[in-house]
Amino acid sequence: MERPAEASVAATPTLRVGPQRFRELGLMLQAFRRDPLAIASLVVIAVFVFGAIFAPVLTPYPRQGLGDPNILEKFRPPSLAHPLGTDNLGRDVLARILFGGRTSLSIGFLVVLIAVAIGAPLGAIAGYYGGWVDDVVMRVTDVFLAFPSLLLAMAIAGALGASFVHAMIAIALTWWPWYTRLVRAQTVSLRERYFIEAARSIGVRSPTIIVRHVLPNVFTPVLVQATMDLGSAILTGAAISFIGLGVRPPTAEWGTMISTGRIYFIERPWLAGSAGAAIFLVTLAFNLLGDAVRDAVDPRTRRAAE
Amino acid sequence: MRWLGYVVRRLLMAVLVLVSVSIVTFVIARVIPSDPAAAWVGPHPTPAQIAKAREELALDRPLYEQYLRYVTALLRGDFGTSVKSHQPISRDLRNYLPATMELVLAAMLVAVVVGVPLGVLSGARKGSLFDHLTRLASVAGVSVPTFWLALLLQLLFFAKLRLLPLGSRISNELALYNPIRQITGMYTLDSILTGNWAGLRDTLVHLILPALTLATYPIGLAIRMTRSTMLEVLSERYILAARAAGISERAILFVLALKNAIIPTITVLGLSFVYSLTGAMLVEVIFSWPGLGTYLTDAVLNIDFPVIVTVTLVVTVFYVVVNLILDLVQAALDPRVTLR
Repeated sequence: MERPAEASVAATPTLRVGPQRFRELGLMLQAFRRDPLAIASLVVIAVFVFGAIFAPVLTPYPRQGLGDPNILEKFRPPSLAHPLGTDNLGRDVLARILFGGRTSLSIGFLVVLIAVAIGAPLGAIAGYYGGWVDDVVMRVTDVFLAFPSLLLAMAIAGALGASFVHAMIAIALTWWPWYTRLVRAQTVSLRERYFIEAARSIGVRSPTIIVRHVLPNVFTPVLVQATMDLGSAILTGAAISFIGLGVRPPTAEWGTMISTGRIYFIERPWLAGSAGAAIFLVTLAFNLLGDAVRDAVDPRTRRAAE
Repeated sequence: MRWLGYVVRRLLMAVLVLVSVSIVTFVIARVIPSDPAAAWVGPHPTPAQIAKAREELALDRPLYEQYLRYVTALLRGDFGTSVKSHQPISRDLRNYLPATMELVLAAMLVAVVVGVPLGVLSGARKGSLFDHLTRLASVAGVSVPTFWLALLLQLLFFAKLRLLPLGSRISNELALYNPIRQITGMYTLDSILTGNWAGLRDTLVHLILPALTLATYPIGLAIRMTRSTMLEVLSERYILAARAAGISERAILFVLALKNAIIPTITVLGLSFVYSLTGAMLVEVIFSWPGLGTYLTDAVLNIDFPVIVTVTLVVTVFYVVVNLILDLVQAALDPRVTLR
């Protein structure tokens, strides 16, 4: 009795909700085009992502970017051959920055991705079912939110041992509760809407409703939050590596580059200087972009902008 | 009466969170590592050390019993022994915690003194060039890696201008000839209390750069928060009435409007106080500031696991307690909070 009903009807409400969702994204893009800071941020991010992806082609020293030392040329100040100088092992700093972007940017993206993957479904479940499920999930988020994220990440990375993957897991573990809260709040209001009630009344099972009707409808707020979080995720990743709990040498990573370069900073500022500038620029761009995306989505500020 | 109920509820919740926090640190310390005893005694342990740690941690007992022992030890103030210093961690904490507190409090002071006026002016001149620049600066403040900014400040003020010291809390000469007698462990306070003016001057000179670096994040927050609440408050009628009555613009902004706009800013700054505790970890390393951060990063380098877990726990307890206080203060100031 239940099965056929689910198969035949479940798709319809999604169709009805779909255009609404795209309309919102469309409005976002419109508001976006008028914001020069947002466009500048997008350009900065695009340049860094492009540089990270095509690092091996863009630099004449791909081996050094991967970590091969070149001792004879150590600590060369910036020149035509090495626009950002060379580091303590003689490696081209620009090559290290490009390759470091691969690590630092992927830590940021993956952390947010993992956090969304854990947090969003939990939030939808808590908000949809309510009752004791809701209570348990929310108390667990309370506990994780009680920890300062950098510290908890440090302790977890300390327990697991220093590595790229562990640093990522550690940061993501401190990040997911924010998405759980966000999605839960959205779900609580969604579940009273007619299309969910309709699906429920014709016997669509709850897991199906969550996957096909709830989660697609929280897409926009999650996207906004994720954009705003990318900057801090990259910054936290760099901080963890700076402390020595993240990426290990010879892999290039911006936080590790600062930690190496700081010893020589007063005489040779180009090493830590350029790595820090890279972190700063990317984080700034993501934060400005996040603000712009939020303003574009928020109907109050959008009206103010129009 | 409702307020009392709220206070009790909020207290119970804080206790619940603290218990759960202790479970999480217990899991990190004793369950995640493949060999907790080895992790507890540090790298290159001898078999005898491991055997002793097994016994101390009661690793052969069931988990719940291990946990109970862990919590009772914590309540007695016994956090274990540092692998590196071979000292009880509680004693190390007494040395390092005041240094961090002094730094964080100084940073918060800078954040209020710099951030709030900028936020007020930025809100009052919405859309002006000043407003745009301040907003950009506030986003930059929350985006800059503090450990990098610290290096830049050192380069400028120490190496180029030769105005300020590179790091540490006091100069060697002072420690030698005019030592600050320790009362609270916060040197600025101690030197005032003991009338050691040379000490006060030296301490302040050393405090400027680290405090400024640490303040960038809360300054950014203070600007954003003050600006947005000012925008709301300035559109209210009593401001219009004040303008009509011919009260000076400065008095309107900094007295009448700010009085109402400051409450959310204080809440945000309270939260960023605890955030700054973690931020201090990174800043301290660069400025060789002998606080919790230096202690923690040294512990990380030496794989001093008991210290890592303890510092995490201690700072988290601060976090929970400050949150609790903020909620209670807010409830006292704004009765609507208790309705939630």
